[in-house]
Amino acid sequence: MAETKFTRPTFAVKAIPSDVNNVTFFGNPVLDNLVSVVIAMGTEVWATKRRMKVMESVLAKKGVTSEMLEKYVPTAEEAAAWEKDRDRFIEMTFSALGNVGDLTASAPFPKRG
Amino acid sequence: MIGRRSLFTATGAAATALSSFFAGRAAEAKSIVKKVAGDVELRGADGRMERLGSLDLESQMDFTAGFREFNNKGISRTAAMRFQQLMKEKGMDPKAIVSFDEMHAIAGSDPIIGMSAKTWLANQQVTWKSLQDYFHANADMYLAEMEAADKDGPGSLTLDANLEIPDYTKHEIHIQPGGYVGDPFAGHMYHYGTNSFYIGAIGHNEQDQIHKGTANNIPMPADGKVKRILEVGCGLGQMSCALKERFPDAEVWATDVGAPMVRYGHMRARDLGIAVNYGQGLAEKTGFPDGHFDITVSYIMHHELPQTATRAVIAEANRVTRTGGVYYPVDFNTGGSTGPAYGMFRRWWDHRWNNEVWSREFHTLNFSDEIAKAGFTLNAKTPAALPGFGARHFVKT
Ligand SMILES: C[S@@+](CC[C@H](N)C(=O)[O-])C[C@H]1O[C@@H](n2cnc3c(N)ncnc32)[C@H](O)[C@@H]1O
Repeated sequence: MAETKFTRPTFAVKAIPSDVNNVTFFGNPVLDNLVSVVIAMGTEVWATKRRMKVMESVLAKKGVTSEMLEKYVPTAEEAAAWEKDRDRFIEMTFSALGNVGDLTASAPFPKRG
Repeated sequence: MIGRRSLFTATGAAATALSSFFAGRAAEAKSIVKKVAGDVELRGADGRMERLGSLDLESQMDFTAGFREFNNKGISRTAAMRFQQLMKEKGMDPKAIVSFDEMHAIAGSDPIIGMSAKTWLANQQVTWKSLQDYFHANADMYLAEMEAADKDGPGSLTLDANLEIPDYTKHEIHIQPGGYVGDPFAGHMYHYGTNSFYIGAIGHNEQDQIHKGTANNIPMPADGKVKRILEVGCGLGQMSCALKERFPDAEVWATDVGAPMVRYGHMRARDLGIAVNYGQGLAEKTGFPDGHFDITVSYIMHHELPQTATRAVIAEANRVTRTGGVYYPVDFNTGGSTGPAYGMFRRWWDHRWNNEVWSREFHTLNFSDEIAKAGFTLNAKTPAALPGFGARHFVKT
């Protein structure tokens, strides 16, 4: 996308690119890449879910046209409910990132009574 | 008080409520954006905020705003605890104040700590890429919209095709693709991108609430005379709009090195019916006459400048501000080359990997001392115009 051919004046000059795609925080670039994939996927999944919410709301009111979907503005109650659901979704999808796996696969059970 | 790097960066205030884009709606959710010739407004406007051009893009921004907060509150906390654990293992006080080098030695390549940075940055990249993809896919329509606005008013726009753009301004700060000068939609992207950044840091800004609050707190010159105001590094000009709304009889001038930034800014101000004069230009060489302005401001520009440029900009502000006039460069508090380990980690990757190229130079400077050295007097009694940021009410003496 960044290679877009513009047909009108852009008033832009060449920028100095960042090297953020070269960093590895996990010592294995594949792991870094997987995390990027997961975040991007989360964004797309949420966009889809949210569109469906809009559709449901619109459907509940009248028939469906795409213009109606695009222009739909949620009520304050809907916005609050969706927000809550968004955060549940984020929690559900990403909370595993907070896990600290410090036991090897062969680790025995800790001492139990 | 919020963390000093918290605005566009990693240390968002943990106490802010989770919120979505819609929470920033104008109370009545009615558009106050004027319908003008050539205007592209596919999905209406919400107060002074034009809605993004597609529902999917709006939802993508909703996600990234939410994830940003989740990162600040959840994943980051785990990383902070991991730091404490590692420090204890090394026999250190977990609350010890450390330098960047000491922090690196503790963190090593610990994956738990790394996860907090990686997810934040990946989310930031998705924010920018979603916006850039959309505007590039619809480039002709949005470029034509700006072309129609370029020569229209109220307000004006001056571009300078011969401006020598310094290299230090060409970096992709905050990893925004193309930075401020390299993408024709830099202003569009910055506007919608920073909306989501603000939500996770100091509150909603879709209606320019933060800029308006700050503009309203800028102190008046003692003689009460405000005929001309200048904002340098204006970006898309939210501060200059807010200043014009506060001082409707004053001439407001606003400049930025990035042509795409001021083009978008001018178009937006025009749509809002606010008469600001935007221009592409350098803050260190404005071209205005000596003592021309009653108030000179900037808003979070200096932490993105090398020290040499900051000094040159202050000198220029001193030249163009009249005696008795006010100089108010809003920016972060400076200082702090040491801190608690986790805070230093965030500061590090924000600088290095969120590409805040010049932030370390800014933070090792005593910004207020530099301004005082240039011939301004600090009024130390005035509270910060933007709470949590530096209190920098200077008067030209
Ligand atoms: C973080 S942005 C702040 C923009 C705006 N003031 C706002 O309220 O969001 C910093 C801005 O400073 C501009 N800038 C950086 N160096 C500059 C210079 N030497 N002269 C003019 N503008 C500059 C950038 O192009 C960018 O738009």
